[in-house]
Amino acid sequence: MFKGFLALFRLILRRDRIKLPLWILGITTSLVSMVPLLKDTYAEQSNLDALYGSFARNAASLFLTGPMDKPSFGGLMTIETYIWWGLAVAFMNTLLIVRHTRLNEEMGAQELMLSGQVHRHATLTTALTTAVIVNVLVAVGIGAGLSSLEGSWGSGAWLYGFSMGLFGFAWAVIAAIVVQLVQSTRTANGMLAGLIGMTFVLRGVGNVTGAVSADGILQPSWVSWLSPFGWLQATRPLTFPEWWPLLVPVVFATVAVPVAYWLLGKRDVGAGVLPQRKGRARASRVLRTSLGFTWRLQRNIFFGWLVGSLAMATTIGVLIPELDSVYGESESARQLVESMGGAGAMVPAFLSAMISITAIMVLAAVAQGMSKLGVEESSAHLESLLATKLPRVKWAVLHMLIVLGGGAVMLAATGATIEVFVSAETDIPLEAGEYIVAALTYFPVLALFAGIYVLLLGVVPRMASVVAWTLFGYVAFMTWLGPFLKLEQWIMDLSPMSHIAAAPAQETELMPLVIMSAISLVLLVIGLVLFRRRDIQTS
Amino acid sequence: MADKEYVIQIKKLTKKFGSFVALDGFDMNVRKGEVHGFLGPNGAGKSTTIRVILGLLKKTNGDVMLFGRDPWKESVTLHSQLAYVPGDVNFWPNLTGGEIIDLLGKLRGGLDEDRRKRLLEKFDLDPTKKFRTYSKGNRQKVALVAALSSDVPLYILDEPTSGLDPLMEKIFQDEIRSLKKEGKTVLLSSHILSEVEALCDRVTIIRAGKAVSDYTLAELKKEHANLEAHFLSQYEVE
Repeated sequence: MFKGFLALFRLILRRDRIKLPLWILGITTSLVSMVPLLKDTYAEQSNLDALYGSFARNAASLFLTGPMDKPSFGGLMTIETYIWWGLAVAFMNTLLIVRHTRLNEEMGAQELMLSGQVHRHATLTTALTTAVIVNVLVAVGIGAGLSSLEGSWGSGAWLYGFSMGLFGFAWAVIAAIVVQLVQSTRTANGMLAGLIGMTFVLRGVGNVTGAVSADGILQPSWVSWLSPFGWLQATRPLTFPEWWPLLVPVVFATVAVPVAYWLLGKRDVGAGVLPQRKGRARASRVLRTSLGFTWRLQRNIFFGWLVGSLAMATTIGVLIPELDSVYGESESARQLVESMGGAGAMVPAFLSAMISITAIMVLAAVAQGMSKLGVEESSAHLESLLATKLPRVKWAVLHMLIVLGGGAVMLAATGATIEVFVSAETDIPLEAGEYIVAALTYFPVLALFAGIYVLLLGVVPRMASVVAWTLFGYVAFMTWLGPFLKLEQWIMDLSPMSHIAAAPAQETELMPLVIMSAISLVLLVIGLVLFRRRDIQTS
Repeated sequence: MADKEYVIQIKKLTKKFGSFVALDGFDMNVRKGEVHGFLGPNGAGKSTTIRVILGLLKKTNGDVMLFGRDPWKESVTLHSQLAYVPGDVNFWPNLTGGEIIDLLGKLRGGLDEDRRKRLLEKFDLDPTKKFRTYSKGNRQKVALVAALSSDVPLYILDEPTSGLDPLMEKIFQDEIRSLKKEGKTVLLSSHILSEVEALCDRVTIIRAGKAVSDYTLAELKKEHANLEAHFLSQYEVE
């Protein structure tokens, strides 16, 4: 079981020398830095009381963030961070295991390693050992960070860390089983993402169907115990700390790890326990058209970001009833919202700011969708396509139309979601479609971005995606964090987002939209002309 | 001017990538109805030449004619008359072999259903598997079936048999012979001298971006016992 362990372990450290430290540092530092950030925003006890009042009752927030156990800073920290950082830890673990087991087999590296002095179980042992170390580091990092910043939590800070660590390892074990079942990396990662989503929802269902016990704490129903997220939530580290639920992931791992090894022992190298599903022998009518085919390549990106942006819009919608009570009483929060969404009534200003933030998510979808053009070229797929009657310009334009069309749909859908919450939860007067139109005012930014990408594709094909993501990072940074940092106006103005009035709180200005659209059209045309005139990149 | 007899005409073709000279005054003529072998060591410029013929790369200098037209300016119209097997077979990992064959056939202007069915059977290829799950040889078969299912006047095949076993190699050779009988033109870039010797009417040998010889196989055999002796002699001169 261990023969070859050291060599394999060093290989993992070498391959992940950047990735893993980034994950660990990213998760711990971002979590720890939430402490001063939240303290600043919710300084007064009255804020916490108001939050507690609404979050304990509201089914939607119970479903998403879990119960707020008491009106304390610990209660706030729990609902703002616990489950969300849990999501990140879950993904870190499943990706880690898949990368070092199933991916090795798919690449053929496993075969090569097993032909040497390596036990057939050693890869799994090494990957799980790495997961243990990574989760211990996360647990210790969180525990040390939280306890040094907030003394009142006592050992609860460490309980938070260890709950997270054991929760993470439980996901590593789940991944260790899933990779035995299916044959491809993609399917394994897809299945695991699905399981993460499903168990996240189960925990929410457990919360909503739970009951308040005699001591005033919400006890989730039994459904929660089916979900690792339920185990995580059960320790309540910053409010009513309980150590015994840590036993659940420990027992789970003790049972599940042998199952993973047993499955591994039953199957061939490179194969999965589950039979490989047959695909279609013929291309569907849709796939046979160049538009349908382009859609096929783009659709996973589209649906992924659509779900993400709708989840974000729903979260924002859930927050609406709490806005006046929470933000209304905090002067610093009011100033912040006004700097993003404009002065005026609190709710529209807040929502206008939020719409610009969801627009950034949609912009990320556009960046990823456009980057597909570069991927298709560098992976030699484009060469096969262009040897047919498909013209270069048509190829690029089809991708761009689908990406931008998808972007428009996402904007409209997030706007519609927010509008539904506004009309259901407030008595703010509303024009039909107001928020949909407000979200769509960001469309010219998407078009501008697509235009820039096509220009890059024409001029510096190998660098296009890197430059595009860097630009995206700048725009996102300016939109999300610019208002906090009180930067010079001209630095903010370099981002196209700064030129769009935050509707519906502010009056939409047409001029910037027209100018942006015109610029994107010019960039697009220049980019396409240059793309038509250059060599296709080949390996 | 363009000669009707020639499907591909290349005169003094130069292609530079920055300061690197990939093709340096290269000449080649492929006549209508012949199977033309294209030989040369790795990095000699075979794939670059083919990509210029396909209009994927822009020539630096010289003349290139495909069916008497400029493949850079009229690539799209010209592509309805040819099918291509790339040297580096890499298709979409999440599409099945069958879907890829249909898709490329359709984009080329349609494929021959009977041929498709016959080729899948002869090459013993399961079209229901996702491309990423195929072995190297099976990936090559997907590319071959996709190209040979189309009824077009010209087939451009860049090392089409790499990864095929001897049995499949024989089936491939049978297919090329029957294409020749139908009067099709084939440009076959290859490493396998016996394959070229068995199939080709003429051979162009390329070395460091220049054509070093252009013979019919009959002419060649007069001077040398076989193709291998000739090929090696070209590389032992300097």
